[in-house]
Amino acid sequence: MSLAVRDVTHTYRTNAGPVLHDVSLELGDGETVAIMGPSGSGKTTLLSILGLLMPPTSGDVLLDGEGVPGGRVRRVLRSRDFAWVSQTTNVLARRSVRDNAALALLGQGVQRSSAYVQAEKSLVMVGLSGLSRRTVQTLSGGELQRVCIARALCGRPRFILADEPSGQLDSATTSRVLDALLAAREQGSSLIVATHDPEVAERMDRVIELRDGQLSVR
Amino acid sequence: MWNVRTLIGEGVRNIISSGMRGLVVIAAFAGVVAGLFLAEVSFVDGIIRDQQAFTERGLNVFVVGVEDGTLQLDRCAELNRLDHVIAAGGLRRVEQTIFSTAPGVRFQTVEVSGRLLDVWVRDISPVSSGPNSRFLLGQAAADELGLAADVVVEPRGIDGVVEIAAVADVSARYEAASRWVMVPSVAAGGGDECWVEFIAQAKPTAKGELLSWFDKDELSIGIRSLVPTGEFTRDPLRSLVERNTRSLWFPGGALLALILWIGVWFRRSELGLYRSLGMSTLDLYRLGWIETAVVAAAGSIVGVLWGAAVGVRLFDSLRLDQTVIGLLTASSGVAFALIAGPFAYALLSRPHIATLLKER
Repeated sequence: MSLAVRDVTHTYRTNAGPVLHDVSLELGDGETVAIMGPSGSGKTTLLSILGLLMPPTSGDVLLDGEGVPGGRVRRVLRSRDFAWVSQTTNVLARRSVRDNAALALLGQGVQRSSAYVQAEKSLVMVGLSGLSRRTVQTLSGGELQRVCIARALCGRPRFILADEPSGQLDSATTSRVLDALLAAREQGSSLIVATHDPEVAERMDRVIELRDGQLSVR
Repeated sequence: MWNVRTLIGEGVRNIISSGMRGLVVIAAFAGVVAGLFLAEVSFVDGIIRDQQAFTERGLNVFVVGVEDGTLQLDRCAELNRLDHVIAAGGLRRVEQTIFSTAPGVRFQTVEVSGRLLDVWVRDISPVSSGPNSRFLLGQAAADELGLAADVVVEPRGIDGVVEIAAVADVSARYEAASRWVMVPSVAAGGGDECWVEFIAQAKPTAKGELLSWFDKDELSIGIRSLVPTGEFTRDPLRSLVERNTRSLWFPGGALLALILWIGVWFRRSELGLYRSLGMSTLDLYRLGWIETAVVAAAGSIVGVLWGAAVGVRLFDSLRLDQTVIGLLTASSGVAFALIAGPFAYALLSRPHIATLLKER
């Protein structure tokens, strides 16, 4: 198994009890997994821990069977092997679509001109060709989400983690965003999606339910 | 990993594409720079005008003196009737030893320039502030008063005739002082000195005119200019540059840094995005420095031009030394901001990336 969490418990300083409680989960290369559960069940927290965005309070995160160290190694792994598509469409709002899509590659030390070429290809994959010079703040919600997906695809990460990617989208746009996300599988990436939406879950290989910070497999 | 070239590209693109928000930050930055520049220019302008007024007027004041106290003070007073004499007055000297302590000594020169002491004390750092401040005497003022330098005195009545109300250390009096303390005298009988201020055009012939006016020969009378050329030996530019301006540039620089910090506060999710893409704290500081440098360059150029334009309007013209001092203080503030500003990027990105990504 390529990515796993073992006996992970996480408590936020502001919360009384743990948000995740003894969670263990394994993900294979190229696998697509949906994590479902009601609001506050810990989906985003689990995704953040899987994506190395924050360390768990206790328990281990294993990559290819090895524990993930902190500091520079963790940072390098995060930028090289992981990509994040969040609910709040994190973008550089005043920069162009192409600039945003190329960011992941720039973070890997790729020259800007080469990164732009790759970014254009990713934008074609998510159906945004022709918009590359537009400022992202002029785009619709669905288009913004696809810019984030293009940025994720562009870096060719091993794992793409998406948090409620269809949260604020209509069903037609959701379908387009999902198509774009599933394009990741074509390039060998694993996809882990936290969602409420059964339509999204249906299109994944595996669905995991998270309730009160504990996992159950459907 | 993020290399410096890529970071420069990101920083410059972030500022160029920042639109109205970037313009507001640059305009605020420019406003503070202009304020720093103008405050200093205004301060220096006051000093320069005081000095000019003293020098120009002082050069037209002649002191007629005799050794034996036989100068006719009524003749001195009559000089006031002449069209080209601005003012004339007699003085009778009293030996310094009459006063057991320094309080009561009069600082006559201020009759020529009411703000002379003010000029002096400005660059000898007041010990405290207030209408009856105590001051450390500089050499020039000490010589004039017959006191040793570095004595603390308490002057009274800055705008009129200044009287030294108190001297902290009486034993520090300049014992070897041979000068006399002069007191204004009524226009009758014999006196020691007659101070005469001419209009500028009358200056070339003033000495000769005074000689014949008092009907004395050159051996028994001394006529000197109150302010001989070179008397004002202080280099105003040097003393002003050496002046401790921390009180001005430090809050100015802090204000500039605050403007930058506020700008970064609204971009915390961008910091999270960069960190999720592998930027380290050092990378973020570097990115911050590049963005700050771009803002500072644009803001400084606009600010100085803005300040200079207002300065020329307010003070008619800007002298080179004024401009240099204004630039020095403004650039000190900008340098402070260049160091403090980028810390916003490093410090505001401290929370977990997942938390930062939720910020709007």
